[in-house]
Amino acid sequence: MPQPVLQVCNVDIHYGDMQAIWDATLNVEAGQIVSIIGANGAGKSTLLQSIAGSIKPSGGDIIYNGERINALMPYQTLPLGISLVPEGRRIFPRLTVLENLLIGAYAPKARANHQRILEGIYRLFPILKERTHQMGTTLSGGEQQMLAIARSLMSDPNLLLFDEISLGLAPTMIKSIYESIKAIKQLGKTMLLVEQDLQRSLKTADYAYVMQKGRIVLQGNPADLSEAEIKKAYFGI
Amino acid sequence: MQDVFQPLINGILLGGIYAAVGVGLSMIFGIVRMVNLAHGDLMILSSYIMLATCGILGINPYTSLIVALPVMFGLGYGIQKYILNRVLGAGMEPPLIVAFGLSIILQNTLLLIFSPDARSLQTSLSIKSIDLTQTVSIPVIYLVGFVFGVGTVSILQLFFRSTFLGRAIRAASDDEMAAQYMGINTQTIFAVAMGIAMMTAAIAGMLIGTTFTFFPHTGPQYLIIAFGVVIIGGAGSMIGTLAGGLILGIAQLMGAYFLGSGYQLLAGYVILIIVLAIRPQGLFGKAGRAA
Amino acid sequence: MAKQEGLRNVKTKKPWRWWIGLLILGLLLSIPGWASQYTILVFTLFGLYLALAQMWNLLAGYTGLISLGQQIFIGVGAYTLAVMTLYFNWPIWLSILAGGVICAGLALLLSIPLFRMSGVYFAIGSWIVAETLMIWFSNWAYTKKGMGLFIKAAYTVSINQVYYASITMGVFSIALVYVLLKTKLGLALMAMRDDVGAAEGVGINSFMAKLWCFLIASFVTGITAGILYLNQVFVQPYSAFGIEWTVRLCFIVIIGGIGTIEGPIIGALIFVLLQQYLAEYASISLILLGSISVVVMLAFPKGLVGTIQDRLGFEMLSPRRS
Repeated sequence: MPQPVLQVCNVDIHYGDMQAIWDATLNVEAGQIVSIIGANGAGKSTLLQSIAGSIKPSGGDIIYNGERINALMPYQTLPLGISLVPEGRRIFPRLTVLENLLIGAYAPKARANHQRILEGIYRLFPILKERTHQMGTTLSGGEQQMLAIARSLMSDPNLLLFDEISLGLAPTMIKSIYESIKAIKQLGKTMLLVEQDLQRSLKTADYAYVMQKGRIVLQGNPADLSEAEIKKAYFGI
Repeated sequence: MQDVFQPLINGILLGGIYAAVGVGLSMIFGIVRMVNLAHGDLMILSSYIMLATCGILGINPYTSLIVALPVMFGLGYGIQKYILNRVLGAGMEPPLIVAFGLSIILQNTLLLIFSPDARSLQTSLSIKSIDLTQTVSIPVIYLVGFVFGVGTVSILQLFFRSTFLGRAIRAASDDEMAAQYMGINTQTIFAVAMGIAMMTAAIAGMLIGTTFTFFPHTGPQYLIIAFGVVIIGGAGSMIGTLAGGLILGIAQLMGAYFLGSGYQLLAGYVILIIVLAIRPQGLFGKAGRAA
Repeated sequence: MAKQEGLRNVKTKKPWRWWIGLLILGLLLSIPGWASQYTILVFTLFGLYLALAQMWNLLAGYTGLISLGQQIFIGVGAYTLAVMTLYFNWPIWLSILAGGVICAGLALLLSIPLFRMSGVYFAIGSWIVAETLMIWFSNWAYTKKGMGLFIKAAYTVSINQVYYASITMGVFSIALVYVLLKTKLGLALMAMRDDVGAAEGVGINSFMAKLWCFLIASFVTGITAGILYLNQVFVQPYSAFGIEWTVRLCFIVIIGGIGTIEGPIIGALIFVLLQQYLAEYASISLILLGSISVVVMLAFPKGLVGTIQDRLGFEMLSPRRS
C-alpha cells in the first residue's frame, strides 16, 4: 500500500498562549479529494495554513511524500508541489489576469513549461482567456475564485489546498467551480478542501473529516456517514 | 523672450537626470511602502566610489559604472536583507528612523574620509555643447544625462512588465503572503529590489557627479529632488517618474531664469509643497496610497 | 501584566514617586550654589534638550506626527529673539515669549499644507519647509543673510538666570505632557495612536487633536530655542535651521523610549553627557548618534525606558487613568 501523499499526525497549533488545534490526525491518498468541514472558527483554515507553511505547528508532524515539512515556509512548500488557494482568493490587485497566472508559474520547474500549462488553464477556464488583460480585481467574485484556482494550477502542483472556495459566491458559481474541481481530479491532482458548505463538499469528496472547535470529531467516507452524525459533529449538538 | 528657450531646454534635459535620481526612491516607496531617507546619501556615496575608482584605475566615470553597479547592488541587497527587512511592518517610525540614521552615518563617514571639499567626476564631455541656434545650445553633458535617465526608467519599466522577477517584485509588494504562496521568497525579493534601486542610485550618482559638484552633505539636497520627482509624478509609476523629473527640472530652471539663480532650489521646493498639499498621490499615482 | 495593573487600579496613591521627583528637583535647583560653571552649563543644556525632546516626543510618540522639521521653530524662535532685542529693543524675556507666539502662528499657517500629508509625507514635508526657511534666511538682507545675527542682549543675562530658565522649561515640559495626556485631548491621542480609524469612528476629531499638539509643541519649542540661543549668542541660518537638531532630538527620544514621558528625560541626560565627551569630534559624534539610533531601533525599539517598563511592568509617570 503506497504511503499517503499527506499525513498529518497529532498536530497541535497554538496562537501565542491560546491553543487552536488539538491532536489533529488526517491522511490524504494520492488522487483523492478529501474535505475538511466545520463551522466558522473550527480551525479548518488554520490546519490548512500549517500544511502550506504560513503557520507553524507547536506539536506533531506534517509529512508530505515521506518528508517532514513542519518547518518549511510557504515559498519552500510550493516547489515541492503543495499549492494553497488562499481564503479570500488574494488576487494581486495591481497585476492583470495574465500576470496573476504567470506569477503562479514563478517556481523554476513550472516556469519552463508555463506556456503549455497556460494553454491548459485557458481550456479549463475559458472566461480567464477572455479577460486576460484586465486587472485581477475587476473580475467578479466567481471569476476571481477561478483565477485563484488557475493561478495555483500554474505551478503544476501535486497537492492542492483549497481554503473556503465557495465563500461569498452564488450557487450557480459554486456549481461551476466544483465542476472544475472534478476536471482537476481527472488531471491526477490530489486535493484537500476546506469548506463550510456541507452539501457540495460531501458530494465531491472521497473522504471527509469534520472539525469542531479545533478537534477532528468525525471522519469517514461521505457515503457511509449519516446526516444526523454529520450535523451532530458539525454543530456539536 | 528668445532667451527663455535655453533654460527651457536645460530644464527638460535636467529633468531626465532628475528622473534617474528619483526612480530608485519611487521603486522602493512603491514596493515596500518605505521612503528611504538615505537615498540621496547613497547616491553621493556612489559618486565617491566612482571618484575613488577613477582615481585608482585611471578610467573615465562611465566605465567606472562597471565597478559601481555591482558594489551598489550588493550594498542595497545587504541593507535591505539585514537591516530594513527587520523593521518593515514594525510601524512607521522604525524604518524612517533607521534610514535617517543611515543617512547621518553615511554623510559623516564620507566627511571623515574625503573632507568637505567639493569634488566632481572628470569627463571631457563636461565642456562640450551642441549649438542649435545662435542663442540656444545643448550642453552635451546634460544630453547624456537625459539619455541615461530616460534609458534607465525605460529599462526598469520593461523589467517590471516583462520579466518573472519584475512581476514577482510587484506581486510581493501587493500581497506579501500571497506571493509566498506562489513560491516567492519575499525577503530575498525585497532585497533584490533594493539592490536594483541602488544600481539606479549608482547611475544617478554618476550623472550628478559628472554634471555638478558634490561633497559629503550633498545627499539631502538630492533626496528632496528625488522626493519631488516621486511626489509630482506619483510613486511606483515609471511614466510618473519621467513626468515628475521633467516638471521639476523645468520648474527649477524657469524659477532661476525669472527670479534669479539663488531661487532655483526654492522654486522646486515651492512646487513640491504645493503638489503635496493639493494632490499628494501625484499625477500618475493612485489616490489613497499616500503613506 | 493585567494582574499587576488590576492591583494598581485600587486607588492607592504612590507618594514615594512624588518624593523622589521633588528630591531630584531640589537637587537641580541647588546646583548654582555649589557646582562649577561647567556643570551648570551641562545641566542648562540638559533642561533645554529635555524640553525640546518632550515636544518632539509629543508629536512623534503620541500624536503620530514624525516631524523632521522641528528646526523650523528652533530657527524662528532664535531669530525672533535676535530681531526683537537688536532691532526693536524689546526686553529679553518678552522677546523669547514672542518667539513662542510667532512659532505657534507659523505652525498654524503651516498646518494648512502639512496636515494634508500623512506619515512619511508629513515628515519630509516638514523637512522641506525647514530647508526652504534656511535658504530664505540665508538670502535675507534684513537678518544679515548667511552671516547671521549676534544677540548682544545675551550678555545682560547671568548664567544662573539661563540655568533656572532652562530647568523651568524642562520641568514645565514634563508637567505639560503629563497633564495633557490626562485630559480629554490626551485620551484622544492615545486612542489615535492605537487606531486612527477607530478613534474617528467614536467621534474623535483627529485633525483638531493633531493641530493642538502641533501648536503646543511649536510654542514650547520656540520659547526653548530662545533660551538656548541666549546661551549660544550667535544665530546663523545653517545651524539654526539645520537637520542636526532633529538628529539630536530623534536620538534622545529613541534612546530614552518613544511614547513614554520618562524616556526623553533619560535620553536627554545621556545625550548631553555624550556630547560633552565627544565635543571635539563633531563628525564622529554624529556617526555615533546615528549608529546608536539604528542599533536601538533594531534591537530595542522601545528604548531604554520602554524596555524597562516592559520587563518590570513599571511606569513612574504613567498617564494611564487608574
